[in-house]
Amino acid sequence: MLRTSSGALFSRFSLLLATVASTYLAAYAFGHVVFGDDGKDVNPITVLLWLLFTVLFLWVAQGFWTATIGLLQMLRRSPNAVFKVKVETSDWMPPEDLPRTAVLMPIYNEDSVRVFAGVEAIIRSIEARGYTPAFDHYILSDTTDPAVWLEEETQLAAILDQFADEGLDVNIYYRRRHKNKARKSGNIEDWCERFGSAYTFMLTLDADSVMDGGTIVEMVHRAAAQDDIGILQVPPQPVNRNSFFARCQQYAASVYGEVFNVGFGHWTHLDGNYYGHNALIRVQPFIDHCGLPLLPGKAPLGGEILSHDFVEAALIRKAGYKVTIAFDLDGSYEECPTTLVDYAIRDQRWCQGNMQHIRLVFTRGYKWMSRIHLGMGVMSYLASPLWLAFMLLGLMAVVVGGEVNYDPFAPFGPFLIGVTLFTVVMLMLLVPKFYAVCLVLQRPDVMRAHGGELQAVLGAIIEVGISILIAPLMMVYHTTFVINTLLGRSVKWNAQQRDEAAVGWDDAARNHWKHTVGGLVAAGLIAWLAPSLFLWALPVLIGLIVSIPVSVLLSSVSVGNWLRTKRLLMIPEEHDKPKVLRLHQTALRRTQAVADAVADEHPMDRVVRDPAFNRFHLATLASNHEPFESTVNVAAALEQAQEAGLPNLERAEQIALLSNPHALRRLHHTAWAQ
Amino acid sequence: MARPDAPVAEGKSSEAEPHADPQQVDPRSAIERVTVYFAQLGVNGETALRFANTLGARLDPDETDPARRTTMMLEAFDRWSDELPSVLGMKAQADRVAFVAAMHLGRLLNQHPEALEQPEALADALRPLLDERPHGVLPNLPRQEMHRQPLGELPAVLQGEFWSGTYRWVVPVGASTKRMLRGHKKALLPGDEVAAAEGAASGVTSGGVSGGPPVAVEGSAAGE
Repeated sequence: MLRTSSGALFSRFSLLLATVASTYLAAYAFGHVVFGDDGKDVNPITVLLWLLFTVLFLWVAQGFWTATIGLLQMLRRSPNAVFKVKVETSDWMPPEDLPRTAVLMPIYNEDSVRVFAGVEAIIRSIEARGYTPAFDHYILSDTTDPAVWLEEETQLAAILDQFADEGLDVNIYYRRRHKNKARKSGNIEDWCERFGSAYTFMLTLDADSVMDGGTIVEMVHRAAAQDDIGILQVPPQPVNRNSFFARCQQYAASVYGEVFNVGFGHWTHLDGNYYGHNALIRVQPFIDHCGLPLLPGKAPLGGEILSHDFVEAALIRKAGYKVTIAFDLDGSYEECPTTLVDYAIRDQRWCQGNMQHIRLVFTRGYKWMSRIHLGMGVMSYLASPLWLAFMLLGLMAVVVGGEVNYDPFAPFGPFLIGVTLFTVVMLMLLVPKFYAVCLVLQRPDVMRAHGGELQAVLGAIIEVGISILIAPLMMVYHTTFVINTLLGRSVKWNAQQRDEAAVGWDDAARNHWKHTVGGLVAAGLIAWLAPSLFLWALPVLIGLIVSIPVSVLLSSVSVGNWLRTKRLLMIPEEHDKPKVLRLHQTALRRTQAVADAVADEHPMDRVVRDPAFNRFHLATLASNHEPFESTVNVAAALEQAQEAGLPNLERAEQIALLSNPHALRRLHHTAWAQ
Repeated sequence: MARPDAPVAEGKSSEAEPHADPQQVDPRSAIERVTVYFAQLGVNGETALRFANTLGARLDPDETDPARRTTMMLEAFDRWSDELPSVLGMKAQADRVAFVAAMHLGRLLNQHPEALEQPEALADALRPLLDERPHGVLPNLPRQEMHRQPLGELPAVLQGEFWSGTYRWVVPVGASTKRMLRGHKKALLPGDEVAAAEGAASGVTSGGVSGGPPVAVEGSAAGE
């Protein structure tokens, strides 16, 4: 029987008490604002307004108190020490004694240059620690684009050649599924079924993940030392990006992430969460207990579970295993979207996935803490429509109240309480950031790594300013996503855009004109119907009205780089690049050279004409042992390919030919015979 | 489809083949084409020519079409490589042999120019490569099934049956309450006391207490 530590229980109790108490006080005060001292303004609109405020305040309060717990924990431990970088906390065992671990890189139509550079960096980083024999590396492709599939094989052949030449003793496996059933979770599930029996642990990565070898080895040691650890998650730090927007996110994660992660990790204790990648998972319990259930009904709310990570954490927890967040480990990296639009696209996928969890929050059998995680996932998107509804109801309350009041200091209710509440909410949002900056300033080495004393503070001010500016836009985006999901409109899960392409004015206008127009119309309506609310609504309206230039500005790599030259929004990984990121950079140059060397020829022409690559493709296909089923008439497709060339066929025909050794050989022979 | 345009390998063709329109047809002989093929596999020129000639010699001399001859020679080479694991007594590792051969074929053939005639010669060169990492051949491991976990039930209050049951209970109560209120209203009118009292009594009995079906309530109401 797993027992939550007394410290964690105390934190949970404190968090609950503080959150409920502060929400009660705020709700009580807000009642005076909207209902009036004598309750004369009670009506359906004000009651709904009050309910929304209470729910939203609860949401803000839990974040605030989590950060406060994090702050207290950090101060209690060692205020002057660098909190992170604690690998080799105990004596490491020799590599041959380390439980077998598979490092899994699931990919889906990704840039293979980046994917294989990540794989190479991780392998070299593990090698530097001397633990290569303990790990096997799997690239699990769900790629549906045949050209990308062949690019992956090109990179695979090159990396195998490279390591063979160097005499590096490492297993790198490539497995492509013909059908990407159940997306990423199905990809991992397929691996578990086929290869899981040989491994004690699996380290799940994302296509843009990079992890330090020392961190990985330490994770395996920690999990090996406790038989009941089911999932060990190291929170990933976004790195490697240069756009203004990406650098804001990187800075926020680096400065504020620590205090939130420590607080969250402390009160969740063994009931932590899984973020889908950069986590070590015990394979057998995962196989036994984490087969995802099918939700009743149709997509998007029913069917296959899309955001699998939270559910897998809940299932393994239900089976009696710990889910732990190793917030004291670093060396866990990912890359973040570089533009507002890419960020919104990613959020659209996550939103649909998280909204499916509504059903699971209330399902019997899950632990309460798992329900809280699932509920928080839902609330992270639902909060936006609730805020929007809150603002619209506030407007209605004034309009219905019939008070055409031009005094911005008295839109409704007692002014002083209203202003105090507004200030409290803003403080609850901003004070955790203030904690985090203080904790950075308190540690000289961490402060230098964030650009210096002044730069660390200025960076936080810039980040807060940008957050406030884009908050209304994100609110509108999230509201749209939530409504679309509830209306049953599914999202296509496309490969994530992972390169740094700046957004031009045309693209920005195309993406944000509705927000600008909406902001202008809303400003006009508020000025006309409720002028007393105009100033209060201005921060939200400005964010929408200027969304086009803001989107262009935030996507700018030159602005991001200029800020870097001023040491603003600097993160420690930019100040002193960790070894694994340097390895990643070197690997990127190699994988890019591999891609450049074959760039003149279409990959499908190459697989038909190049004898070595053709043989390599067929050998990879044979080793996969996965039967291929298709409705394509292979003979007709072959004839067409012989006449028009493989690149000119339909995608399904291309895949059918590339998956059929006999047809591909025929095509290869014909190319040489003609 | 465009032909592979690698440089023509050195050496002379042992075959004479008809020339065709250079715009349309590759004028090279089958031997030249297959020599280039081996060169692209990484085999050096002399050995490549030797292999091409060896494969050419196995063909039916009556077949003179260079394209057809090229195809037949490449098919023969594919057969040779397919049969390699059996010939070397490594059938159990056929996938791995194919994978290693695909990665190192050029080098292996350069080391063993006699390999086409005597494939056994490759055995000693292949063995260390098979044991050596890195390689990419997926391991063949015992398969396990990962079953879907049961979804789990929602609490009764969130299930449809709860609400339909509640609805079934609420409807008659609501109807009888409505009737009762109507009866009360009528009772307020002079001369209608008896009807009001009957209506109220029948409403309570049919909907609220005995839980009778809504029809009974309707009938009773209609009776008014």
